Amino acid sequence: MANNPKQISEQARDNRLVISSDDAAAVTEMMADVAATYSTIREIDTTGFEAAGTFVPTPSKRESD
Amino acid sequence: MTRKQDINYSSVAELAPRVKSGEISPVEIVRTSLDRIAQLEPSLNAFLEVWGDSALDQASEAEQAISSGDYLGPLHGIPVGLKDLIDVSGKETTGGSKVLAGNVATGDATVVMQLREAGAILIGKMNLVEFAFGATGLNPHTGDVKNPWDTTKITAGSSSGSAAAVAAGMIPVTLGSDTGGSVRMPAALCGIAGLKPTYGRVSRNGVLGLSWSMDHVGPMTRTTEDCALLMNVLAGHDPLDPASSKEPVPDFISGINSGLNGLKIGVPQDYFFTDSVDPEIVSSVHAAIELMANNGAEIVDLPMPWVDKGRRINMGVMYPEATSVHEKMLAEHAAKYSLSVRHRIQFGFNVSAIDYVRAQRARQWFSHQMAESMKKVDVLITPSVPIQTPTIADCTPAPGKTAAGGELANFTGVFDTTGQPSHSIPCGFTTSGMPIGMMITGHPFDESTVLRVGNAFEKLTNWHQRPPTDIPATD
Repeated sequence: MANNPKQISEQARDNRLVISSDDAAAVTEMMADVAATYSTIREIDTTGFEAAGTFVPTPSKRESD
Repeated sequence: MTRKQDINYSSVAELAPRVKSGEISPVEIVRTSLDRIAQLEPSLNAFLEVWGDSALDQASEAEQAISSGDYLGPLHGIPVGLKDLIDVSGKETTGGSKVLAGNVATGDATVVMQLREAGAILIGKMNLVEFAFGATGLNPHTGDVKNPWDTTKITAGSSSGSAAAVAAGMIPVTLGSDTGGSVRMPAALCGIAGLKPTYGRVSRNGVLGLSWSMDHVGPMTRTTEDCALLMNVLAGHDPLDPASSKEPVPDFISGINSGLNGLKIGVPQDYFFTDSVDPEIVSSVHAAIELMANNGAEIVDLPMPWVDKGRRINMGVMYPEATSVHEKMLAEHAAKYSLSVRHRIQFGFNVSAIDYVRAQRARQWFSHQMAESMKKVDVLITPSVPIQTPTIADCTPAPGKTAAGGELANFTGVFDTTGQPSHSIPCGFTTSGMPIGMMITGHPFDESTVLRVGNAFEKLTNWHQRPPTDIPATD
């Protein structure tokens, strides 16, 4: 996870988004809380649990001629 | 009490029989609402648009229909406000943003169609946090909504205007949306009832999304009984919403007066009642639990050592989903976003795919823990929020300052993670005179028991009947 303004800017650019240096600095400041969020999640043993929102195909058929 | 005050602070359940009998006309209700709105706006800033003329036209049609014997049910002739992320054909849906200024909806959201079919009168669009992405209720584009109990304080959000309008006696019903607590937090801080139904129970078709796997639409009203009346109109499968559930829909009113006898109420022993939670809030919720125990409920203490992870999982899913929702708009209109919302969306670009999948797996794990824990109880009782209502000034972002209110969603977000039905109602007041909210959370798709408990508590107390103290009385 990016943890400095340069990395934040680079990752944004990789995602086709150009952000200002001020934005990158502000996001960096707030990333500590985001990092803590995913750190907590990574510690959970989810063995045996599939991701919520598993894709389910929508039934369909050929339209009548 | 004057007739206007009576109408302003009546519930739907109180108004409906009077409307049906012709004792009150929908035109009188709408005129009284419009007078109250004119009296209190723009000081409260709860509305983004008020459709006075069309509301009076709808009211006149309702009056004629009812006098002709075509009464459609309890919502017929009742004014309803819609959070401005819900589409109404021919009206703007801005999401409280600059980005969507001029975005006129080409059709009604499913919930709007349901309200129209029930005879409700659409009276306007409610203010909200920009794109519903924030807990304090502040919005630099549309202006902050003031709490009717103390206008220097926040309403919480994101359904800020929806809560303030009901609390102030402007209208009896609004719809809000809830992804981390946006129905229940403002309901708690403004002293009204707010229900987040089970995920998938109420359609989100035609509603701007924030985080598709956790977005809920729910009613905000004066009483629990009114939430049940709304659920009878809003609940049900909608093929236009991919997450819409096909679970059978009960009559939410039929068992609402069954009382507390025979019910088991779970009280979490972790997280919700710790020393970090405001002691006045803890004390009020404990008193509410004791009152319910004295009136037939059995109280069961539940250890939940894992429950503190619920809000983290909620955010872990929300960040990348919100970024995905906003990716294109942000790339094209970054300068039109407020700084704080833009930064929250930019977080998501730094979340890896594996972290998002971990969050979704953790959500299943968490829901399993919750289901196991609740096997022996009908509902959980907790505080709705952990802190007392902060001031608008303390929550307003500024360089070098940590804005207050960051903890607001710590409790509500837990039940967006699980998708359980969760309901906030008033259960007391702080010494500074601000409402305290209690959250009643049930098993998935068992809104009926949640509403039964809420209604039983309201019959034992009068917290929900007190009018706000920091706004003028009705003219």
